[in-house]
This record gives sequence, structure tokens and C-alpha cells, in this order.
Amino acid sequence: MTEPFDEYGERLRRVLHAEAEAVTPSPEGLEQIRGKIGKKRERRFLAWFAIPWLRPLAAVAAAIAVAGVAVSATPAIKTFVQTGHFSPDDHQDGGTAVAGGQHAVTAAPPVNPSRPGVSASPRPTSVPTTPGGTHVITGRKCPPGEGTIKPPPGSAGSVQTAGPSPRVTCGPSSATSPPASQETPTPPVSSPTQTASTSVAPTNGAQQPSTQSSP
Amino acid sequence: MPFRKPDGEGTRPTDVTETLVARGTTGAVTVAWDADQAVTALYSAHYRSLVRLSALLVRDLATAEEVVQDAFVAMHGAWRRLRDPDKALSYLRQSVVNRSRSVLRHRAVVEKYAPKGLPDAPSAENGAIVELERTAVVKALSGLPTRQREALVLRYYGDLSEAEIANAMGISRGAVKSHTARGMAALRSVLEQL
Repeated sequence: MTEPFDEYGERLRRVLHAEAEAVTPSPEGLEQIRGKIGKKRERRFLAWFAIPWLRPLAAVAAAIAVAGVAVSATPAIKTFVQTGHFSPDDHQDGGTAVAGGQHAVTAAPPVNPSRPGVSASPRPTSVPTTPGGTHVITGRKCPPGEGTIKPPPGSAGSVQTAGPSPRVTCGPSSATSPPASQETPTPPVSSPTQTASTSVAPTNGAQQPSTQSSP
Repeated sequence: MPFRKPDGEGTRPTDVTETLVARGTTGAVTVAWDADQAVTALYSAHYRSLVRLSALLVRDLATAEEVVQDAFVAMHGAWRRLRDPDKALSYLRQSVVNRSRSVLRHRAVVEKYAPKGLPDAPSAENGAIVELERTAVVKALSGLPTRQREALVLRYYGDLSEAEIANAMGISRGAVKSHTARGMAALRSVLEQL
């Protein structure tokens, strides 16, 4: 006994397949799908810029980015932001050599107002002048291989510090030329410039003492 | 038992050259493809059958292609949200059925308010008996309610199981049985006359 639904089902299946065989999709279907996907992506991308709050947000973000780049790219501003001063050497330079074999001391704020003119810091800030006319730059710790040189006894550029004993200044042990950093010109000395009669030392502890006190 | 599952033993015809299920090739989707690769692979494997399925539902090739293309675009956009890429074909099929349903709904509204035109003239092909049978069945099928037509097409053209039909139509298996039985009962008179 055949089931009527099965018979009808088979006939319906045959008809549907015959009908479907007559349908031939166009070969450009995949290209059309990709085109629609591309259009959808474009619409989605443009929709982001259609959001009303996005433009102000983008403007603020761009301004912040430009300011950040400007601050980080300009050394002076960067130093000012980090230290509060425009130059990192503002209160670190105690003395600077000047032309003519003289040594100069910058007028940094005194450490102890009650004792002006007297250096309370172990770091001497005056720059002695060697007979050859070169300066021994302060702020440089004597390495083990370097000796100390005593300033000429009668030289006018002797070191005047608070120590009772004669001061010795660190310098290279050999007679060879000092490192390039010693010859590098320091930034312009801020006024007033004083001669070596007094030595006013800044209190910046970051600077290593460049002289050694003899006992 | 009036109906048996299409994949039951002895009930599946051997002359079917194309199925929507494509069980042998669907497993390739398990590879971790991106959306573009998935669209390309699924297109080459199932685009034609999906267009034909949609054409049987909407009775218009151009609309059927548009429906299937939109389904592919939707799948591409939702590819990351697909929890199981193996079910991409099910997703596509369900999307095609839903979109075909929307097209029919829209078309019904348009035709409701459109001016009545002349009835379609029979074509020269209708001289053949086979074509007569085919035209009559298809015409009768087009007169069925949408759910019944979908259930019959998915079962007898797509060769889907009741569970797969239920998944594609978004209804229960009992509802699938009901729609199929009612649709076949409505077509019986047409099929008996042929």
C-alpha cells in the first residue's frame, strides 16, 4: 500500500526541483556581494563621523595631541615642565671661567643667608686657572686615576673657599689635554660676576664635589 | 505515519542532484576563516541552491538573488558574532527564509494597493504536459500561506529534516509538521488532477 502523501510528495519534489533547475543565478553574484559589503563598510565608517559628539571630541583630542608633541619636542619647555626652570643649569652652575684666565663665580643664591660669601658646601665653585691658561672645571669628581693639582701659590686665581687649608682642585693626572667637557664653554654667566675673592656655592647636592680638602 | 524524515532510509530519492544541506562540504567551514573567506567559500558552495530556494519562495529570480546577497552581507557583518561557524549555512538559510518572507509581506502590501492588471497570458511552453503539471503545482504552491509554502519548499526542495526546517523557520517541530500536513492537504487536489 502506497501512502498518498509519499506519492504526492514525490511529485511535489520532482516539480520543485524542475522549477529550481530553471533558475540560473547570475555569475556576478559574488562581485555584487562584495560590492554591497564595501558599501556597508563605507556607510559604517561615515556613520562614525555623523555622530554629533564625535567632532568636538576629535578636536579636543587633536589639540591635546598637538600640545603634547609641542611640549615634548621643545627641550626648553620640556625642562620647564619637569623642573620648573627653563634651564637645568640655572642653579647648578656655580662658577664659570671667563676669558683672560680669570675665573668667575656666578652669583647663585647663598645657602646660608647668615654667612654670605662663605661656601658651606664642600663643592668649590671657583675655577682655578692653570699656568697654561686652561681651567680646571669644577663639578667633576676626581676619578682614581687622576691626581690633584695644586694651584700656583701666588696665582691670583687661587681658590677661596671656607676651608682653612689650601684648596686643591681636581684635574687630570697627566699633562695630556683634558676631556672635551672641560673645554666646553659653559652657559653665559649670569650677572653679577664676581672674582674669586668670595665663593658662593649653590646647594644643589646633585653636583659632585670637584675638589678635595686636604687635612 | 504520513511523513517520514527526508533522511530516513529508503525515502530519499536517488536522483536528487542538489541539496541545500550539502553535508559533505559544510564541514570545511570549521576552518578559522575570516569573514571574506567564509563568504567566498559559502558562495561557491551554496549560493545557487539558496537562490533557487528563495526563487521558489518569492517567485522572482532578481528578488531571490537580492535576498540571498543581502543574507550573505548580513552574515559577513555578523561573522564575528557567530558562535559556531559550522552553522553558517543554517544562518544563511534562516536569513534567506526570513528575508523572503519579508519580501512577500512587502509585496502583498504593494499588491493590495496597486491597480489590478491583466492576468498573465500562458506562455508557449505550457503546451507540454510536464510544464502544465509544473505550472499548476507551482501556482497552487504560490497560493498557499507563507508558512505552509516555506515548510513544503524546505522539505521537498531543500530535503531538510524537521529539525532543520524548524530552525530555518524559527518555529517548533510540531508547527513544522502541522504546516507541512496542511500544505500537502491543500495541494492534494491539484496533484490528484494531474
